[in-house]
Amino acid sequence: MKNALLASSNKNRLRQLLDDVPPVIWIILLLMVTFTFLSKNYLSMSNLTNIAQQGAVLLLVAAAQTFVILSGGLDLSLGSVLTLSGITTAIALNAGIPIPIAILIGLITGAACGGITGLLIAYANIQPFIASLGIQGIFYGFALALTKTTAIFITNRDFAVMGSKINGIPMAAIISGILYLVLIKVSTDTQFGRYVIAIGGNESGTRLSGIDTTKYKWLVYVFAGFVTALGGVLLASRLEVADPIVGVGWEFDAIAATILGGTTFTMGKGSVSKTIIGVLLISVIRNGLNVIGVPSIWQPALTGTLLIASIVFQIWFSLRKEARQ
Amino acid sequence: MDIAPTNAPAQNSYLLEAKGISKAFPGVVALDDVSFTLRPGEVHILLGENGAGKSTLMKVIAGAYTPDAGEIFLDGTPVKINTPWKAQALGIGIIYQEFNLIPYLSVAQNIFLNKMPKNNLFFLDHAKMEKEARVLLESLGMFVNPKLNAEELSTAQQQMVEIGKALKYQSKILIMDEPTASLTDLEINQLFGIIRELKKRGIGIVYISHRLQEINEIGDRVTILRDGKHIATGNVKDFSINELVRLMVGREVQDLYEHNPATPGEEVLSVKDLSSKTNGLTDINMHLRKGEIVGLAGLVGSGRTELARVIFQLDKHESGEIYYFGKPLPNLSPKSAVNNGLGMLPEDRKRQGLALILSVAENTVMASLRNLFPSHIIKSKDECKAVDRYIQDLHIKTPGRNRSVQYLSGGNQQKVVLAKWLCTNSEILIFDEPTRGIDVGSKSEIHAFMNDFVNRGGSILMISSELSEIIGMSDRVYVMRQGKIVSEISREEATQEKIMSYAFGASGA
Amino acid sequence: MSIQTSKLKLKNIDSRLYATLVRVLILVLFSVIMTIVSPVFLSTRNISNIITNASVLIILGVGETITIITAGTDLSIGSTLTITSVIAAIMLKAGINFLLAISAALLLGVLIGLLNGFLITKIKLPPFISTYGLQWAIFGFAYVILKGYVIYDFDPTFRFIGNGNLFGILPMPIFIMIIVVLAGTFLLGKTTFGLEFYATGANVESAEMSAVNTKQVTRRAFIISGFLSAVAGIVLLARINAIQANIGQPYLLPTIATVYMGGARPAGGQGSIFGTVIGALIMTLVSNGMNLLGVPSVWRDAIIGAIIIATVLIDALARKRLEKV
Repeated sequence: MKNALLASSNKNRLRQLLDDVPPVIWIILLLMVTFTFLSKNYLSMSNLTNIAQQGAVLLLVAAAQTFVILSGGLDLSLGSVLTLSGITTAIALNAGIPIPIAILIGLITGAACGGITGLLIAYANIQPFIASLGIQGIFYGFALALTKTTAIFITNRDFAVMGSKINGIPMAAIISGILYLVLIKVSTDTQFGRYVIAIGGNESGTRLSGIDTTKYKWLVYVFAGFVTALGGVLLASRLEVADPIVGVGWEFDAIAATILGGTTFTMGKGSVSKTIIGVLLISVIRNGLNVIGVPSIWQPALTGTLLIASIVFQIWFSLRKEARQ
Repeated sequence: MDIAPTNAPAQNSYLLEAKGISKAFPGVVALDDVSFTLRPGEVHILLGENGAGKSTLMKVIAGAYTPDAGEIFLDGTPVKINTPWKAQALGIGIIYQEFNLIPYLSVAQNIFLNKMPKNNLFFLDHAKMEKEARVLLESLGMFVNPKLNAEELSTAQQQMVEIGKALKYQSKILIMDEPTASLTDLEINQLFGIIRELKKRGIGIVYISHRLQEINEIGDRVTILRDGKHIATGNVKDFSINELVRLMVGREVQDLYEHNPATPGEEVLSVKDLSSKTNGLTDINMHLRKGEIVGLAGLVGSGRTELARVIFQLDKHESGEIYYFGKPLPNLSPKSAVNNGLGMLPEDRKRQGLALILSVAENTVMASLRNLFPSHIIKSKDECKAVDRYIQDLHIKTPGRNRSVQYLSGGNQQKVVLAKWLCTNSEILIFDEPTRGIDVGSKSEIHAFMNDFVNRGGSILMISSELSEIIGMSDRVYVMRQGKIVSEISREEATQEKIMSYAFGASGA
Repeated sequence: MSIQTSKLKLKNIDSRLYATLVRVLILVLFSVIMTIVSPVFLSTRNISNIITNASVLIILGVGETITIITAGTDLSIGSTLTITSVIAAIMLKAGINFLLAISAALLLGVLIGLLNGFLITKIKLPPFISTYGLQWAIFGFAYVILKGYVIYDFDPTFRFIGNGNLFGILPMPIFIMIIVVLAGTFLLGKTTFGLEFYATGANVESAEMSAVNTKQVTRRAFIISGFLSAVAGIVLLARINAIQANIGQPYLLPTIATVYMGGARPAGGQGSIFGTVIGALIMTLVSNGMNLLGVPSVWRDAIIGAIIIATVLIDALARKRLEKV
């Protein structure tokens, strides 16, 4: 009798454990196991660090998008901001400007772009979807114009250090990881971070408490632009090239990663800390399909299918969890 | 005939004095030379129909609006209250009817939203925030875990957090807008206890409510507004309920909660041995007969709305049967319920009963599309005829049938919901809190309508948390507790005490 | 206290009507500017050209309008357009009768719409996610099928759809577009189906409670969108007489932008085909104007983005004054 009770309580505890683990982790594990089977090279150190490196930049852009989505908004221009900030940094470097200042220029570019987007959304009250959609065309236009539509090669070799590997560990991943931890802290332990959730959860209530919600909404976009620019600089360093079309579609990847991390468009629900899971999944899929030798023609189709299947799984799982409570 | 304001004591004993406040919006004068005073330690009730100006006056005092004319004095000193934040800084706290908490922030973070304590660096000091929140709530006699997220709290707990939030700056003035609207009677008693505590500390409370019976229990003075003008102010005990109603409405209102008992006909709806796991219902047995109004009473969470949803086929049930006019129906959709003559006016009319952006006309015909337009083509002539008839019959105040319903007052919105169901020619209507948050005039109109409906052969199942509404309007009352029906009481035997004791499950009941 | 009578009058005008008036005004304004800039503008030939060019956008726009009103943005229209025309192209080249090819394409469009409907109503994916994921996968498959080739030079009977003139004067694309627009307007404005779309979009819960089968209504919306994407694909294929794997790509964002410019709101329950048509005409006018003026292609997207923002901005500001309380 006692054993039966014990057994059932263990079962419950196991179930509870399963519940708390984000569902996407199972998919990642499943995929990694599959890929290991299909390719000897998969679990090698060099490949794993590859995954980390590929996800490094996306992690920053996705985290930026998470902040925006938590505040109740959306930013479809982040891809163009990524591009543009890398381009301004590259131009500055090639003009002989010292690295730290060039980086600063790139960051300011990102923040300024976010500032413009934020003006349209927070102050002019245009819907985020359409405002950011419209503005990204303008940002891309600038990107194309500045580069005269071709890629810019960065001549400053020292700059590439951020994209290199130290003892086999990619610098980009380390830098991105540290920045990500800082972002998590900003989200939970700063007034700004809490206001992001407040505005997303109940904007009018927040305003009635005397907080200038319009200003903070604007700031979220500035912040997102800034963080994306960090990614842009990192990417330029790794590729040693600033290419105007490189950012296309990143904003959607960022949204997918945010959702896979459990943040939804139900405002204010979710967290920045889980977004890394979504980024990990996307990186694992991309890297894995490559490593096992899927012809490049098939890769976009399979990536898309796998991603949508993952999102379906994630949502089905969380719906079941809610129903059980 | 207006009653002259009572003689006021010396000016400097007022906590708050508003003189000659006027405020107009495009097309409407909300306040016209209104004056109001509040003494320390008093509960001053503000009464008036929807549109009388109560909310506007309170928003002016709370800094959400700036008045076009008039002055405000706090403890005798003139002040200008330009923003909600300034009002808070001056010691005025307000709790709106729709709570303003942030669902995914903690209680502590909600309370200190506009001034979160930081440690020496730059980051928030969560421990300090939670401690201060706990201390604040306990000092007001309330106990809520400051770590919980607001969305995990019950309505009553959320209200406690709102009170804590409103009073955190040693505020002396608290404005409460319909505080008891979504509380059970037990929670209301708790709230009154808290209010009495606050009174002892000298806090002045402005209390807006539509529930006339609460006035005697908790109010000291009362002010009545009508059409933006001040009508009367005086001590609560000097007014009878009828006088208050007359002053608010400007005419005699009869049939408040009055209903002539019906001679019921055949069974139109019966529920046998119904259980629903998802809705927490067990072994429900009840019936509704033609021409009856059956009341469904119980505490919040006892399963009344859940039962209504199952009857209306919005939610599924595992066992038991529901019979409409003697015919059993399997689990289907609301469409089949509607096809069988059922209509439901939900609890939250804005979120469930109406599509706010759409017009009066569009909302009215929404449930009758197949009947009104069998060819699927909407001929505007037919649409207009149908809609205009209801606008007239129900006295819906709207500039036109194409007006978006979001601009209508609560009472008129409820009438549109009603029109929608009348349009379907329903014979059985389920009302879930039919008159919550509605002004007295519309309230009595809706009750009159309910009487008329059953007199002409319809049947009503009415869920209400207002005991006087249940007792006054029902032919029979079912009391629910924890998902079960625990009692069926006839009209003659129904008393507040009896219903409450069944609702609580007190011994002997 | 005097009542401001002028504001009172403005408020009485239905705000939806007002929004439409603003847009027509903008269209007229642009037309005037274009006429001043280039005298050829008002010629029948040029206008006919413009409207023919707009026809694909408008056909897509009608479908998108319906989905945005009902449930959310359909991001898969570009990919549906692509794959349906790819299938039709392959069938035509294989010598299959053109009517069969067209039917196959239309059927495929409906199936994709059904798939979207299924993912959204049964799996409960947010439309944004479902259509985005699907489009990714579908574009991928289109790419796989075409293997990077371009197919061109089709059967002249088929090409009549794109190049022919009905009764010698009305270009076929315009003719098809008019039918679609009329059908759509009638459907939305004068049928119960239309009201059900608006009701579902405005408030799903209340529609559900009003015995509207919201799941079926949502599925219907996406089926229509899928079908119309296929129609657009056929017209486009017939007109440009060539196909490559990214043929539908440049249409996605402009279509969405057009619908929002036409007055739809992400919250749902609002939008009109007339507004969408005006929006599409404005967009096409501007493209045409940029061509005539020789604006470098680098700036084209930017200018379109700026116009989108400008239209929505004007609308938002106008509404703000109208509803000021």
